[in-house]
Amino acid sequence: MLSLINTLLPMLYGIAALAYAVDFFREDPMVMRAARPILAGTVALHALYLALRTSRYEHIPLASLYEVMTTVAFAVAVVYLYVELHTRSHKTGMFLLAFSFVFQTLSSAFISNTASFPPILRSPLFSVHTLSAVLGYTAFAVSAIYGLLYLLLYRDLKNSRFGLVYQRLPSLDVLAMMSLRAAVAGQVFLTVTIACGALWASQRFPGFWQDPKFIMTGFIWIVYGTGIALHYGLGWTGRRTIWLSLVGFALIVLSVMAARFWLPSFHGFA
Amino acid sequence: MGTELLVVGCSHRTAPLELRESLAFAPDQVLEALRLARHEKVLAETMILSTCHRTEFYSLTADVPRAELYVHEMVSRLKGSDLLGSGPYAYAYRDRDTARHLLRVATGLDSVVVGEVQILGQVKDAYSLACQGGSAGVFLSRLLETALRAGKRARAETEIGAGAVSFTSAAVTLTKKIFSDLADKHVLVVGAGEFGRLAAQHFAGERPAEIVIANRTRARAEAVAVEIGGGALAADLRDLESLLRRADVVVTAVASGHPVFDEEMVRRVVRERNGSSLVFADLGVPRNVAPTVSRLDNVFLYSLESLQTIVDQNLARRRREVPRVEAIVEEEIEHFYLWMRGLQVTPVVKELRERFESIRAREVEARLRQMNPADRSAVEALTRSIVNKLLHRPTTQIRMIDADSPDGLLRLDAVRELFGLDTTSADADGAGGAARDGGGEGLDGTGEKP
Repeated sequence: MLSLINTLLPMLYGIAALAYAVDFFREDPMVMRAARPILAGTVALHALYLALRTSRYEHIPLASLYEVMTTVAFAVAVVYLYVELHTRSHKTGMFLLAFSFVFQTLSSAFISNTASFPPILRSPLFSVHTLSAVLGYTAFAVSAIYGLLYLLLYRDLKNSRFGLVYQRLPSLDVLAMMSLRAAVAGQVFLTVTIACGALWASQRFPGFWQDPKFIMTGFIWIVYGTGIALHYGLGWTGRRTIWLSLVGFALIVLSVMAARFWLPSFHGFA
Repeated sequence: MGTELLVVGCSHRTAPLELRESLAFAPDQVLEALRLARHEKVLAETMILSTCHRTEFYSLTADVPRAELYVHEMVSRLKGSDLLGSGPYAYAYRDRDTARHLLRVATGLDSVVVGEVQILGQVKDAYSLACQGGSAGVFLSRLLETALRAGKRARAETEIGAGAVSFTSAAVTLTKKIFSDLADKHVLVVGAGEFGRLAAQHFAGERPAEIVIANRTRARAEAVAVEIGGGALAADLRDLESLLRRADVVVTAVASGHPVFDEEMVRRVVRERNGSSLVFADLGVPRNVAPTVSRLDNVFLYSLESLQTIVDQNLARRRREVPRVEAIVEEEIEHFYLWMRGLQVTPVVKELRERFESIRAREVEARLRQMNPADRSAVEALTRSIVNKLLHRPTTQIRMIDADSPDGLLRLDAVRELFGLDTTSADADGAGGAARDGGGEGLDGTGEKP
């Protein structure tokens, strides 16, 4: 059952992303009527997959990079469904679901069905730490995607280019709002991640604050926090805050890659 | 059927503006023409649609050539000469082509700007006048109902009316691509000429937090502000920079040899805006905003050229919808003629009998299942006899109706409505037909005219 769903999920995300892409380029109402149920069905199946996996392997699916990837793919799709229902705009679906499709495809291809979960990591505090980290990074990814769409539309509006991007995307302030809200949600999760992580690591890894990943995460927190504070405190809006969000996300990618491949870190297990 | 639909008229497609202006009928002239037509009894039902782009006489007549001549005579009498016949300007369509023409007009297919919305209101107004003049009968009412429904369907089911097709509405569309909601935005309109007035009107429709109209002559700005209403303010051009400081959207439409907003002024203002967007729609020729302003971050500058691109795109989009609207027109014409075919004596009698018989059979079937065959047969015979007796007089009366006279058509239509007979609906009980009929567009002639 698990392996069947694991095979099906990339296909279903691919079909859903394709349907949203057809709607973006051609505005076909027939395709759109099919796209939402396909996505809702895919998300439901994905939820079942994660539940079955948690039950069979007795841990939330965050123990390996590829488990994290499937959880992120799921979270992005859920966030997108929420945005679509909330804003009634389905023109950004293609971009977010492409993200879910890529992550789920990588996960399905490389995930191990015998993933072990180091006993040391079975602490509830650690579970909250990892779960909120994944949710936080997902929210930052969504924020970055909306930020990129903002910049695309901004460029076209500045240059009086009224092509597909202009015709299909929501307005600039809606994209900015989506990006900002996602960044705020990400910041909340990241705060929880850092707090739980620090508490948990302080009992096991003395000097954890010297860990490169911890330092980079702190730096990411400062970047996003600065952007949010400037928006709410000084009324900063527009491209400047969008750029801060994108710089923050670039740092996240850098920190994940660094922790995994380049720098010695106790975060290396993920 | 002896009566036929006829339209005689001219439009922007056939006649120059000067002729259309001379031929235009004011509402009181329309009422006078309708009074004449009713009095002289050449046209059975009449409606006159007169706008700046067309003047058309729709009528129901038993003698088409005579009716056509009569329209020309009427124009001669009311306008001093037969303007319609003074050149190759007039067209005349009969029967189904008349219905098709009216539906094409109502859906905006025949408009100067394809899909324009005002025409539907003008058709309603023309019908209201026909009702007021007592010259709208059952045929015209049904035709107008069909035309208005086609107009509404065209707008609801296709994109024939979508997108901005004027410079000022394109400016609103573009602004809304930057600010989705203008409720907390401040709009500054510089210039109170025609463009400025139109821009202020369009932006006022979006209910912004504030509209300020600034003009060299403050009195003119005040007049436009009063016309716009909704708390619009007037200002003069003396302190443009402080007006700009409050604004999120600026529309400029003034005659000026040099830019009203230069880069330095805008730069000073933008510096204080913390990155929030500032939109300029420059409708002036020569331009009122220095083109270099567009280099500033978060400043969006649109000239007439940019706005023209939007207008052209939307017109092309509307033209792509024409085949779908044509299909709606043909579908609605089919419904109309299905209804017309029903307005004859034999089908009405037949349907009336079928309707009563179906009710009788259903009731008997529902209630007498438990009876033995002999009793059932007796009840069947009894109920049939009652139905026949009930229908005898109505049937005889219906057979005496002259279906070629407007009065006869009215009576047949009344019978159909009274007994729920509707050939335009597949629903035998007429529920669907009732829903269709219920879509009447306020055809009582009330409330449309100012």
